[in-house]
Amino acid sequence: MASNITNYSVLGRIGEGAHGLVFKARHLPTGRDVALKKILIKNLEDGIPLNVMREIKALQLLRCKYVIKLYDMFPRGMCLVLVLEYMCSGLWEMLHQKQQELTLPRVKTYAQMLLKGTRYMHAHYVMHRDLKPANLLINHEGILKIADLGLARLYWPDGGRPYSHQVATRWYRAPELLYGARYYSQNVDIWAVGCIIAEMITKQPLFAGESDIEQLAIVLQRLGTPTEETWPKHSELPDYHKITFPESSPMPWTELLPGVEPDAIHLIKSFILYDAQKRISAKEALNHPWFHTKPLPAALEDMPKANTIKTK
Amino acid sequence: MFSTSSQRKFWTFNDESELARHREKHNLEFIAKHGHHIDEYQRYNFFLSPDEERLLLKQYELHLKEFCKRFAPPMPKGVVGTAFHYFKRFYLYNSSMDYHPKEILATCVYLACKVEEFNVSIGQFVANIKGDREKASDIILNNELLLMQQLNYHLTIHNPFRPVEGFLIDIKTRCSTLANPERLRGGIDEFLEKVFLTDACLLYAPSQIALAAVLHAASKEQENLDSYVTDMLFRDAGSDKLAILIEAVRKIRSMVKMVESPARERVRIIEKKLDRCRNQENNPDSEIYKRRMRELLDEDDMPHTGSTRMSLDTSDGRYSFFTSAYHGSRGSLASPARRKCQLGFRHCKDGGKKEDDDQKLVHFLLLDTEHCRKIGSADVSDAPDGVGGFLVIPELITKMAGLRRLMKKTALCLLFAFANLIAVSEGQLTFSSGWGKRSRDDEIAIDLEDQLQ
Repeated sequence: MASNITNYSVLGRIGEGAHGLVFKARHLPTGRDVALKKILIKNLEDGIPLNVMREIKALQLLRCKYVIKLYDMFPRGMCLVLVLEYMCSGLWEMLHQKQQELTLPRVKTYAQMLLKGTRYMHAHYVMHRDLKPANLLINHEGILKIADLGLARLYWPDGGRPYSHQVATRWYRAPELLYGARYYSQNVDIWAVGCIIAEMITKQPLFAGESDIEQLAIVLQRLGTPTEETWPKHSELPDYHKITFPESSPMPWTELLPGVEPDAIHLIKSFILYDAQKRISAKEALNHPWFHTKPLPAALEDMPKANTIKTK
Repeated sequence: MFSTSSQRKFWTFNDESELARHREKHNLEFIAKHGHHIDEYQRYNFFLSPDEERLLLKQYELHLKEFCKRFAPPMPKGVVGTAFHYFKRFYLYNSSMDYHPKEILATCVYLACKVEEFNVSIGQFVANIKGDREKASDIILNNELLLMQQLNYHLTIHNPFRPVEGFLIDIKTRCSTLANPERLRGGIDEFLEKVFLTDACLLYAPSQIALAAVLHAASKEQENLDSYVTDMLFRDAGSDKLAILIEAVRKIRSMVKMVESPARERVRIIEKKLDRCRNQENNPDSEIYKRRMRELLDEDDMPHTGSTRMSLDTSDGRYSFFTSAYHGSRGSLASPARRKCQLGFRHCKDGGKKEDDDQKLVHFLLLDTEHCRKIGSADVSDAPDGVGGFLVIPELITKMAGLRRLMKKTALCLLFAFANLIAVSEGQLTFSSGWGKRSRDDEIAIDLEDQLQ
């Protein structure tokens, strides 16, 4: 319980978060590498930010191989320091710097890891709300883990409570959020998972909007103008009447994802659905034939292991 | 799930004597640490005994209940339950002489609001507190991290409210002998309100407490749910498990029955005693606390943007006037999280020639930049290298009467600063007991402007 900074030797800075710096450090008693996320509290209006509180709560609840671990935390001056599992790389780096290493078998393995983490979160009634490549980190063993649960929150399965729609990074944001929905479900994560898997396969973001409106325009143009059948009650969403887009019919998926095999398209199609209720669950997706057809998912030994320590 | 929770693992205790042992230990530790200069006999008169601490905390639990009840916007039950858990957990490992229950109470409720997703800003929160709200929010925000640490970051609380809903659904579907189970709600709510005034939540599972509430409410309605418990809930469990449950329910119900308010007169005496024996390091009204907070602020909280220096020669030396701006926040003496500006006066006897080594900081005070902007001196900065206390020297004010010689802007600025000093002497910034008085800054500023017209 008496944990403090003297147990750690700081090895370097690895990043900057919304509330402070992130350092790489070694836990001296165990020799384990960790990430120290330092949250500066003193200049914040309402004390410890709500999303830090949510992250702590979520991480304490979730104990899964595919979700980043919170080892400990301690106060330091006017800061709160979270001690997190150290991850040397991430999916964002894989997509932007080491594209050639992202082969189809490896993509399948990452997709499985992402889905297992998502399945676990959803089984514990936690929705992440900000799944994107930058929040999927990869450790030295090549295991992908879901990180940055600052927007994660517990949800009520009956859907009785409104949530903020200002969540999720734009490219991965589900259409109901783009239309300002306050009542939504864990299936906003499923949409994001679909976008991420598509991006891993094609190395291109599926829907890359420059603004929220363009994002919606792109989604609508690709998937076609929603109808009462493809998206029940969509016209009741808060921002639906604020903007109208030209009528369009859905583009064929073979055009959206050129050169992608039919199995993969079938899976992605099951994530990317207007009707959140119809989106495939993480659990079901893990049984999809894509994971059982050749090339099979890569074994852990064959996953890229970034050993280089990146410090800024 | 409760069964795998930190609540069960770390915060559910065997019996009342275990709780009493923890509490007594921290009482004795506090006395040993702070009472070495007081002889044995006097110690008992000076410090609170474990029993006195218990009584005091019971009183504050009543305050906690009332505070939550009156809170606007109305607070969900879960927030109240969580706040009670935090409060009880905190004082298992801390003495009320170390941390005043009033301050911890407010912090517990504030943290519970956040954890239970009842989103209120600190401004909305302290609007429910009487007295000096800025001071209250400073105290709450300063204690938040301490509280989290003392809770060992175990923030998630399992309250009995959800299990109650579960039992009601179960009774409605499986127990047809009980007509209209919804009529139990009144009795249940009343019971759960009282249960938080006992230690039951540190000893029993939330589902056991919930069942005790349901059974209590049923018996109040002249109904008997014994067969529901034995034949339905525990049909497949062993008789040993049933015996444990029956004993738990009996104990919880008897704890609730024993709840009584502490005698007002006794609490008043204890409060008086506490004012004297509390740890001054943690008393926001004490000089030692204020100094520590100032040091924390001064350490690394001064991103300067420019500076203003002015001086005024008087017969006995030179008063140089400086201001500095920074993003004020936690632990400051004025409002939290607001941009602040310091105004200071250095008094140099030799006319300010050897400014660097002979000057002495006479005063400093904190103003909002809003106020400064109003009076036209927002381009400010440069930190004081030493910080004086709030010394009010009436002669200085008299000497400053010649201010009109200076430019109007500067004059107003200085006068305004002095108006604040007067306010300080009247206790506006010197935080009297209780939550203090409301700020009078605005009134004073207006008066001064009138005078200068």
